Amino acid sequence: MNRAWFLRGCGLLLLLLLPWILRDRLSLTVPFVIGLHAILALGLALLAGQAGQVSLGQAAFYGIGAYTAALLTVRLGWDPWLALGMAVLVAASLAYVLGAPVMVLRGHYLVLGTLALNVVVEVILRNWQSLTGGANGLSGVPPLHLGPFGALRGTLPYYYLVWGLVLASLWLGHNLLRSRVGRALAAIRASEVAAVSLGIPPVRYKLQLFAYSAGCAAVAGGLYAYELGFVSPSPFGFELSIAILVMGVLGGIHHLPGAVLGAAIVTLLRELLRSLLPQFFRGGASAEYEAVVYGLLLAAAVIGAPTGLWPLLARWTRRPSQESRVQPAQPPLWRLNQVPVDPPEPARDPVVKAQSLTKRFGGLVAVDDLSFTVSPGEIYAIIGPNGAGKTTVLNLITGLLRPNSGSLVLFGSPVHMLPPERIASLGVARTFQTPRVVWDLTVLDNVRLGMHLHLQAGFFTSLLGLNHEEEASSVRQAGVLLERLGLVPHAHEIAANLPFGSLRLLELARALALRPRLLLLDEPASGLSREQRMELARLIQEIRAEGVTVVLVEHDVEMVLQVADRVLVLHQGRRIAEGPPSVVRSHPEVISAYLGPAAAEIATAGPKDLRGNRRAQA
Amino acid sequence: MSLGQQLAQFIAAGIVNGAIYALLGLGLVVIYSVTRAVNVAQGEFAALGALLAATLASAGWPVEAVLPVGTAASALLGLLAYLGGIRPVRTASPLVLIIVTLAMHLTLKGLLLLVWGTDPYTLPPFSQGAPLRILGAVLARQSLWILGTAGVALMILYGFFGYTLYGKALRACAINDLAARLMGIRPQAMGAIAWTLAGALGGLAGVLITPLTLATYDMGLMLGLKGFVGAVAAGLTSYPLAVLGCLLFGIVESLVAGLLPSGYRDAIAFGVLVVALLTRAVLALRQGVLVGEEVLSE
Repeated sequence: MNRAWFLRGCGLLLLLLLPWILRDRLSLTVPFVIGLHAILALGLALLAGQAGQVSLGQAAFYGIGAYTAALLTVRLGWDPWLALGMAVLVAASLAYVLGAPVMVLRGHYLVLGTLALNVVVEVILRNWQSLTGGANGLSGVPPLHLGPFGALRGTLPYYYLVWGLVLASLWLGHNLLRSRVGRALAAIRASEVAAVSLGIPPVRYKLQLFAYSAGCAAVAGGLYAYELGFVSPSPFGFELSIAILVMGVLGGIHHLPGAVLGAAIVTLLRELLRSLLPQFFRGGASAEYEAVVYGLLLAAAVIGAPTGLWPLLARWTRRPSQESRVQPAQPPLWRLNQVPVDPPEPARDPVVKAQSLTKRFGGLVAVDDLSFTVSPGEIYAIIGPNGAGKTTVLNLITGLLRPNSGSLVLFGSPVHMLPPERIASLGVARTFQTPRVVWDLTVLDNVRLGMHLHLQAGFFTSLLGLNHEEEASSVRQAGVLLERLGLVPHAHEIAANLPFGSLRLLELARALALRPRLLLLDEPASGLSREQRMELARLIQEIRAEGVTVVLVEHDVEMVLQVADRVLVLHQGRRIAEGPPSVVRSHPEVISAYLGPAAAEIATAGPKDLRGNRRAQA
Repeated sequence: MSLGQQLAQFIAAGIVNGAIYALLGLGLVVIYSVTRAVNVAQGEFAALGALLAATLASAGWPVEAVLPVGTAASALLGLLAYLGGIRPVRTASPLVLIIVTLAMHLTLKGLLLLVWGTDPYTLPPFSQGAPLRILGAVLARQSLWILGTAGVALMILYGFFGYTLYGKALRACAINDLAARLMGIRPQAMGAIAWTLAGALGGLAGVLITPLTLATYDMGLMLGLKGFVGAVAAGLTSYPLAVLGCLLFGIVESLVAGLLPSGYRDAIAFGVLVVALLTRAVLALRQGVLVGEEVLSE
């Protein structure tokens, strides 16, 4: 048993025995409140640390939870448990409604959006007297009841209830991070472009997390109301939202247990400040000074210990600080190679049918009235000088860009209005010019990202950890791909440690994990050694032989001529030639585009004249 | 008062408020487009300008001196905020930048509280005299000062961004940071200019509005938030759209506030914010801009 487990045991024992330790000396209220704050901070840590979205609305959702529970029980006589469930529903739905436009817009609107929400909640709680009782609050909130224990009165049962929930949220969060959803979130953090290309919808996952964090806050709010039997607007102000953020950042926003640590530190500090500050500052502004302390703490934490306190503590207990981030279950490698990846069914319609595609960036026409067709089972290469619009064509096919005009049909269905994650789900996978892998995930998990569309586990399944079977089978399938691309020795390394050539292979493995019908490769050979290029060419032909249509954008003309069935040559967004490699190779416009008009003249004149010219010069 | 008169009154008051929000909103846009930080502390620049101006005026300084001094002080604060807060973490994620500006907001508000306390301060209007009647609306003379000064500031900004080297360099930074660096533009210098400019705009807004309302240490948050609401309409990147958004928001706020009990006034901003976000999101979905072109070059 190592030190970490020993410390965990001690922590648990302390939690259990705390009421006896404190007995009559100190009230249990502070530990109870720490637990409430820990729940709020855990919700925020998931949202901010995993989805990269900061919410300043935790106090608002806390308040909404408390007031919904109080109003339903006091005014309508609902059962407290039912009211608590309703409170969660109200908060989570509100988060969905507010979050949807915010997440669609991608930017960083959530901070100020939730700040505004917090202001509104305060305004409504204070002003809508007939409903909320205004500043005087609402009293007579009934306590919870629990089977054999009857009504739960006093702080003691709520203390256990809250800390049970804290441990439960830790467990749920931990499950989530090591699931399909957790990997998807890591991909979204690393590169949304890569994520959507794998069929991961970023908006949905960010929204789910936001709603989850709001729901957690509402549970805490309900428990607060039942414990106290009274609610008033003041505990749910903007100041608490800030305190919650401080807890998350101070403890370490990427580390879930850090949120609990942060909650303990900041809540104790709050209590201390509340007893000290009024002695120094008269005039009732001590809450404002409290905020200054948070401001300084935040600045100090961000600049001085940007990863928060938890990783520091974790290092001391000799636990790798990665552990609370996404980590796969680590199977022994010899079991990897058992289940073969299903071969994809061959396509029937033309795989890609582009008609008059045009894409403009401002005044620049990147793709100009371009039409082409890719047949099933073909290796179709797109070449052209730099800036010819090759990558733009790939971005149009994968839906990362929308054409200004023209139509695009994949596998017989029009796709020009589909979002990229839907296009991926048609069986379209791609690699990028600069590999976009998730640096902080292992090689194995990066490949499993490619299986996102083939795995089922949703948000709740992942939270509850009901995904073991699927996870295990995905590890086996990923193992097959790793073996095929020679990456098995790196399986459990994080991707950041890989050399460049292996990164290209990793991206290819990830694309294959999607079981594509159409595979788009963007300059897969660049940066590879000669041997690696040969290997890649062999691999591409092998993939095609399995029924996958390949579109290859490449600068390495030698490789293109070797593997491609047909070649499309682009110059300044226009098609200048198309056909089998042998035809394209001697096409005058192609030579002109690559080597300049003079070279084209020489080439078309033929070798005889060329010699003749030389003779003349001599 | 007839309904028409009332309407004119609300709209006029809305435009005046909108002009103030526009100054703050522009500051937010400048900072966001150059340093990618959503500045939660934007309102504090206004509060500093306002409190300083009020103090100096009560010490007998004339208006002509109070306005530039208040503005300059806030500009300096903006520069210090950049140097002390943003520059050390400029390469960090937007998440960290937001947390830093939030910390700035809290700390600056606390400093203002330490110096000025909780009492509200007054500033006399810039020119005395009876209110003016324009198209059926009654306007305090200070309102004209606000509109005039804001208008001049906007024109100067327009000239700055459109015709000067530094203005163009700032725009270049906003459009493509890397390309701008390759052209020899120093992003740190641009960041400093952006924050100074945003500080000046905030300070100006604070001094201008104080004769109509009052100056308090905590006036900043709501002002900054309202500027943000207007700027969101512009996606935090377009200057003219931000001004338009802020003016529109001012008018809507003024009209809706006329219908609601006064306690709810600050809640209107949220309603408008949600509507603005929804509209922009629906537009974005219709155009299919789910992954912006900017992202592709990440």
